[in-house]
Amino acid sequence: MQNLLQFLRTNFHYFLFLILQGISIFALVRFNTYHQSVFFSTASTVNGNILTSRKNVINYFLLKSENQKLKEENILLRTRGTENYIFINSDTSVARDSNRVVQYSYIPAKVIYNNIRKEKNYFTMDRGIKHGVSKDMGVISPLGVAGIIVDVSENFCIAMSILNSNFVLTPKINGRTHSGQVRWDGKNEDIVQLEKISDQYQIKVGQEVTTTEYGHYFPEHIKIGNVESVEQSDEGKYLDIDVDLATDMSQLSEVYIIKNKFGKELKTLEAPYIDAN
Amino acid sequence: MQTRDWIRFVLSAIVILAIQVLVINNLNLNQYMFPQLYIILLLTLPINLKHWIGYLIAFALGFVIDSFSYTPGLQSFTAVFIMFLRYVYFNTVVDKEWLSTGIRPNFSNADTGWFVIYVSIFTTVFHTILFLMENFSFSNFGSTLFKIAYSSSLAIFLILLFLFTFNRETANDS
Repeated sequence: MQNLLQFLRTNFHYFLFLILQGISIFALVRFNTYHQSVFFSTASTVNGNILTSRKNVINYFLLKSENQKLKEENILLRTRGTENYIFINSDTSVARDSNRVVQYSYIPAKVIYNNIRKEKNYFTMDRGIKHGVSKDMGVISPLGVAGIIVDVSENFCIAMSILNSNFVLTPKINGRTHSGQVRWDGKNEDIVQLEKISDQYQIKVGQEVTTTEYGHYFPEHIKIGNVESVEQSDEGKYLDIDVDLATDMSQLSEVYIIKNKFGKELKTLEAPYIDAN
Repeated sequence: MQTRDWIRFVLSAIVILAIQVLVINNLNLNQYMFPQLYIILLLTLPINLKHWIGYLIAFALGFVIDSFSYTPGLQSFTAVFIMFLRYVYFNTVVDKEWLSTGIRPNFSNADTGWFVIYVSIFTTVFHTILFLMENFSFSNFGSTLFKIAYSSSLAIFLILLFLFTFNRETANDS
C-alpha cells in the first residue's frame, strides 16, 4: 500500500497528463458533431446499421435539445395558416373536399453522417428506396430547409446540403417571389447568399426568406432564414444579400424528407423547356 | 517563479488570450490561416516548472480558447500534448545544469539561433497536432497540410515578432 502511494506520488504528473488528455478527447468526440460523426463512421465504415444503432445511443443524450427543437417547430406550425396544416398530417387529412389532393407528404428521417467543413457538403440519412425516398426530394429540419436528395440506396439516402456551392433555390422574401437564387459561397456555415436580386426592390434586414414551389422540391413558405445584411452588388443593378440560415447545419439530426406527389410529372413536363441546372 | 512573476504571467495570459480570441480568431485571412498565438505562453514558461503545474496551465489556456471557438477539447488536447513534448525535450536533450537555472526562454537569455529553432519546431508541431485532430481523419490530407504550413509559418512570425518587441521588458525582469 505504501509502495503504491509512493508510486502514484512520484508518477503523479504522468497520470495528470493522461487524465487531462482523456478529458480533452472525451470532450472532442462528445461535443463536436463533426468529430463525433467521424468517430462513429470510422468505427463502422463496413456497416451502416452499426452506425445507426450507435447514433441512437448518442441521440438519447441529445433528446433534451431535440425536444426543444420540436417544440419550436410545433409553435411555428401552430402559428401558420391552415393550408400549411395539411402537409404534416397528410395521412389523416387526405381530402377535406373532393377538389383538393395532398401534394406534399413527409417522411421522418435521422441524419447519420453530416459534414459542413467542405465547399460541397453532403449528409446521409437512414431512409432509402424501401421507405419511399427517391432522388430530387427536398429535406427540411424542424427549423427550415436543409438539402435535396441526390442519391438513394436500398436503406439509406444522401442529400446535397444547403451548404453546397451547387445547391440553388429560388427564394421568396417577405412572402414575395424574387427571380434570384440562394447559393452558398463556401465560407460561413451560418450564412448563405442571395444572388441576382434586382436592386429595385426594398429588401430590409430581418425579413424572412422562404421557399417557393419552383423546382418542385419544397412546398411554399418553408423557412430558409432571415436577411442578415443587404449591400449593392459590384455588378450593378443587383443586391448582395446575406441570409442567416434558420437551420443549424452543424447540429442536423432529426429531418423530414418531402415527397412531392406531382414532382416527377412536373419535371417530365418541364424538362424540354427548362435548362437543367 | 515568484508571486510577482505569476501575477505578471496571469496578466499577460489575459492580454494574449484576448488578442487570440477577439482579433486573430476573427481575422479570416484565408481558408488555411488559423495561427495560434497563445502558445507563446506555454513556450516561455520556466524550463524547470513542475510538470503538473504546466499541464494544468496548458489545459486551462486550451479550455479558454476552446470555449470561445466552440471546439471543446481540441485546443486543450493539443496544448497539454505540446507541454508533454516540451518536458520530454527539456529532460532528454538539454543539459541538466542549464535546466536548473529555471529561466523562461526568450531572446534575452538564450542563444538566438537555438531559440528561433525551438519556437519554430514547437509551433509547427503544435499546428500539426491541432489540424490533424481537427480533421480527425486522413481524408483531405492536402488541405490539412496547407493549413499546417500556412498557419504555423504565420504563427512563428507573429510569436517571434511579439517576443522581440516585448523582449526589453523581460530582460529587465531577470
